[in-house]
Amino acid sequence: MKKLALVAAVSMVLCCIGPFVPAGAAESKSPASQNTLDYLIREGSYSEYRAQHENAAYPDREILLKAEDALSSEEAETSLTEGTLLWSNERGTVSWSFSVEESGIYYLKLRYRSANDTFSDILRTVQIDGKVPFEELEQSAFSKMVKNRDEEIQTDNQGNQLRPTQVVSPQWQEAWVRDDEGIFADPFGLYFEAGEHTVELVGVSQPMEIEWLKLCQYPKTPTYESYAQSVAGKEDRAEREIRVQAEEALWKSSPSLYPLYARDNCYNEPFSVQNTIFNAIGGYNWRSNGDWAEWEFDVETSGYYKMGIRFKQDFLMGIPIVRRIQIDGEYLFEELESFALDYDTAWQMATLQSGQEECYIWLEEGHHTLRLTAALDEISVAVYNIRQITVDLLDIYSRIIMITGVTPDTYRDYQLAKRLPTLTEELQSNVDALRDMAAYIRYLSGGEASEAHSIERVYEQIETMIADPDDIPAKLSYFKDNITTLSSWILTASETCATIDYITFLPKNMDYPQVNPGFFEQLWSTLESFWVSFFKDYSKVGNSYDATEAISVWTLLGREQADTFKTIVDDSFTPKYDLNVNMNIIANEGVLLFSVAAGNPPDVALGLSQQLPVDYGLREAVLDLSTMDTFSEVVGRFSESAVSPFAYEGATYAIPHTQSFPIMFCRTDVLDNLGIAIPKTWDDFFEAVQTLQERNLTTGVTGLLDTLIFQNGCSYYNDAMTACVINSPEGLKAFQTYTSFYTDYSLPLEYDAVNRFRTGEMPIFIADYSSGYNTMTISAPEIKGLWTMAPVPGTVWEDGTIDGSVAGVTTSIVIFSTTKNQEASWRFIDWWTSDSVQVRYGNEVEAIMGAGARYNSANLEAMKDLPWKLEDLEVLSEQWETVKGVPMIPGSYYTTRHLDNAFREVYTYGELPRNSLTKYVLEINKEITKKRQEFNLSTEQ
Amino acid sequence: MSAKAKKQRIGLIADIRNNKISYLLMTPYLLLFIIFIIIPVVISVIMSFTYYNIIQPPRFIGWENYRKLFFDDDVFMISVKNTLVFSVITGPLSYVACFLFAWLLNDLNPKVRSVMTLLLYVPSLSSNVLYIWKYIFSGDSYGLINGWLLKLGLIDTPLLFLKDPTMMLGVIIFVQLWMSLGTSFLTFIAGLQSIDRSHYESGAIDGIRNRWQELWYITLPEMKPQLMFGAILQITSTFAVSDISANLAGNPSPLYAAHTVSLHMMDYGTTRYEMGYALAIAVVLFLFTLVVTKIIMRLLQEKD
Repeated sequence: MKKLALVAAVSMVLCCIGPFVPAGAAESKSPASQNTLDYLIREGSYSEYRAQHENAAYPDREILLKAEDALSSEEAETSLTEGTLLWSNERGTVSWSFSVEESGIYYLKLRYRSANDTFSDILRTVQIDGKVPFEELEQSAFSKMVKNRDEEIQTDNQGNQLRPTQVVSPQWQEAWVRDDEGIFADPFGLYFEAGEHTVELVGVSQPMEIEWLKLCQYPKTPTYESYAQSVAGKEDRAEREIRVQAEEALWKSSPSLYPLYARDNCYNEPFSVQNTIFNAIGGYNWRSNGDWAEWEFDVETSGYYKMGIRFKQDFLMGIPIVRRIQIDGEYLFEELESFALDYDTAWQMATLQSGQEECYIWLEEGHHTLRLTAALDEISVAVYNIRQITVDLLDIYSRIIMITGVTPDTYRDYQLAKRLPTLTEELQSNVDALRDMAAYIRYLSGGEASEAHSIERVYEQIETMIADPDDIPAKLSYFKDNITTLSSWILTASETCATIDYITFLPKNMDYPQVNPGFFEQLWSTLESFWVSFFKDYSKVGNSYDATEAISVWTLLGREQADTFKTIVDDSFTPKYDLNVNMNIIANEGVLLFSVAAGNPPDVALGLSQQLPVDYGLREAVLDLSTMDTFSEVVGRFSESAVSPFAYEGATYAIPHTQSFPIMFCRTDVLDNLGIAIPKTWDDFFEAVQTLQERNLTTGVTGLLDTLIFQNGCSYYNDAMTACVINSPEGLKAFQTYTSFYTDYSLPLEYDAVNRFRTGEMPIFIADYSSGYNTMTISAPEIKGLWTMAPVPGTVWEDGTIDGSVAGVTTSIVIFSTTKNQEASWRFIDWWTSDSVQVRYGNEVEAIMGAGARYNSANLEAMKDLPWKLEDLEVLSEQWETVKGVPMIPGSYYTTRHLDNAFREVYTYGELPRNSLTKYVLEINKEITKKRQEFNLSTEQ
Repeated sequence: MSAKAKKQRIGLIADIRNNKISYLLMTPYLLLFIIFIIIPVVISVIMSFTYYNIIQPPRFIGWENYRKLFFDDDVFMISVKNTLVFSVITGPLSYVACFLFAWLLNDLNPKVRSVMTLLLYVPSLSSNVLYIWKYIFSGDSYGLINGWLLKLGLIDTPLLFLKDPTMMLGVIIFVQLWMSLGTSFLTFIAGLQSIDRSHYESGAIDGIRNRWQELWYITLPEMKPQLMFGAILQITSTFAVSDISANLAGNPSPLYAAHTVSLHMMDYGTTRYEMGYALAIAVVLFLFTLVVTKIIMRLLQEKD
């Protein structure tokens, strides 16, 4: 009995764990480490260009290209004032002609200034003699200078510091034309033969002012020895510590480098357990190569100082995170150019060392600047190469699946070796490259092998594929997983995050300050913050007022969005209208229902679903906003499709907040390979699907029923909104097309669009533009430039016109009818949905949270001012004109529900579409009638 | 007032005075019980006779809700069928499973027993652990089961476990069973431990030959209170099942294939703003559960 029980128990546990263990987890031998790595030569890239001009000279000359010598093309709008060229639009070309006397490599430097106040970097294409010498120059970025708008940091009335608003301040900067991804550390070296040449800047994004361009040599940074020698023998009168608090950075390259509140260690300066007091900078926000922050400090007595930085780097184990340190704009010696911040979960103090000795910096009495720039440094080679390898492997993968399909039959001989003759060669060269990469990473991480390990596993698996090519179909899914591993590796390895508390300069014989508290100090601090947590209200955002003197707004937003929202409100709404706002975050809509039942709902609620306003409005819980004074003006800011879901029986119960609609995402490289044009009509689309399916690829469509209904010219309900009319001939046609996606073409019903898009299995998919775009930009960097958005295919009518309508989805803003501040609430909504406020919010939220948080405002004008690339904005605007809103009536939840049921019947049970649709439309109509009766509305049809 | 009633009333007050301490100890629980269970039940019964959409004040409509429920609501019938299928299968099965596992584990040495008890009990603790089943049963061709089946060549296209009306109920019953080793399981383990060992010895002397006879003649009768407690808990909790179904198959599930009475109630209460009707459903469910509990108690009393 005992034995039986034990055996049963153990086997149960094993059964549960078994399926989850991935196969092929081979043990790795520990390879040797190597300390140098060459860039893989990639056609058209700087790596190729550089290799071509390896043996060129570096002439010590300077060629100055002044603003007044510039030639502008017709499209570029430029004007010359006092030696500076203002390029006020983002189109056209500005060029300079000059002659080069000595052939060789020159570096290009630019003196420029930003010409507007948006946060996006200035982007230009750089061409030499009319063509782009290598692809990295297709989009060269020039950052703007950002600072806190107000001198002093504001505190709200709870004692918490408010995140300072960041603004762009146009300042003249001199910058080298270099790789903004940080792969190539030095600026780009451009080769010129002796003779006449031109340099052109082609507009991509953002206006700018230019004073001059210069072709010259890039100065070499001295070693510490030569630096020490050059400043030797001076009188050392350093007496006191100079501590520069990192959160007080004066200038930044990006608005995401705002001060942070790090409360995990009571030695963070300044520390407060109760309130939000900023004490650090960076964290996850300081992850992009090239982002810098600059401080100013005064030195009282000149002398030799040693430098320390109190920081925390708990992001990347094994790969060193680097900061470049410039004092007064210069790299004083090599060690300052690659200052490493090692991994640890605790706060540390990093000091300047050259070999074993400490480095001392000579600081004169007076005012100085200090700039820290995030850099990729030595790991950049590995990142670049692995990116290239990933693209190659993806290409191999897609060629394989065109023959075998995504889930190959393991018992079939696909004859891969014969049909893809170069397969093993290509795989081998990639394996060799990966092996070198892993050895290099081992060297860099000083033995800490975690980052190298994942790469080693990848190439070991590929080696088994090379050893037995007939077995490749069986190992295909592991191959794909490994490619995904590599691309995630690239993402994490290129992030240079670190949090910095302060930078200190100490005289030679002073000790470094204590970095971490003792055990009891930390214990006390933890107890304190536990005690405080009982008294602090965490759902409040920003300034909080007595309920009688403020309007209450409840938002269904994330915390960062809400913080930004409140800052703008306190900053710009409250002073302008002299009205206070209390803001709270709610987690879901259900809370509102209960608050109404309890009798104390807020004045305004924001970010709600499309359906809620009419339901609440009919039950008199929210106000009819069409009676407000500036209603027509406010409503004019949106597309009609955004407002129609909130209108019922002559009243409008909400104002739109965000709007989204479906759009088609296409992998242009895969489609080009297969000779498929981007489909414009559903017939084109089905043809494309057939071609794709022949190659074992597929497409994905979701939620297109609404769209198809509109495209066939059908409406949901009759004019009186008393019955559903989808069972009209047009509606039936829409339903039939919709079911045929899944029944005739077997498109998948459930799928992960992003991952399949990345691997190329699903080169076309249709999804909501906002979430699709945001996810794709962040999580698929290796396919950057290989995909595009296009309008959803349209339906061709008998007379030949193409109807490309799509169904929009909106979120709403309502005012509750129990409000005592009707006028004030409406003012708030009017102000919030106005163009400039929406643009400001969208820009700030994206600046703080990155491109993955791009705001899909419903305000048409505001959309144009958000940082969309021109080509994407054109597609979105084109689609937006065809967006239609789905009408919401009482009982419309039944419509969605039963349309889905009708679909399930057709899909699962093979029922005829006509029969299912008719049956369920009857059900829908019963419910609509019932609801109308409930509200004493006429039920005439 | 009749003499008998007066005597009864005095009896109660005297009783309280005599057993003051006991009543005092009961008071906190009694208070909470009355506030959070008795009063809401009473309110529900009263409100089930009204039309109440939560936002506006309720309006008395008499038996209308009940009439509609029994004579006009097809979906309610579907949900009753689903709930019964659920209960009939999961209830007894999980009851037997609880007992079986407890019985098996009883013989292990205490340390191993604690570990195994923990492993089997844990799923019922964290209600969100069912999300792992969402991944396992995912209809994506990369979901765990679909992935393996496709790889082994047993199917061609992924099975939509949680969206296909024919498979949905089965999957949810399975998950429900897995998560059902809860309180009754622990009760049985405790109960088995509390049986006096001497009874087994005397049984062995009296001619009991194998484990099964031991189980039937000694173990089960000794555990009657726990068995009854476990039965009531297990079977009645299956009537209230809704969480798992809603999280896995959605609310409402396609074609109402996994729609239970609880879900039907929530649908009317929170999605359709017809709280009065939802309360009528709740009352019906309550009465039904009461009846079933009484039947179980009767059954287990008679068993000897």
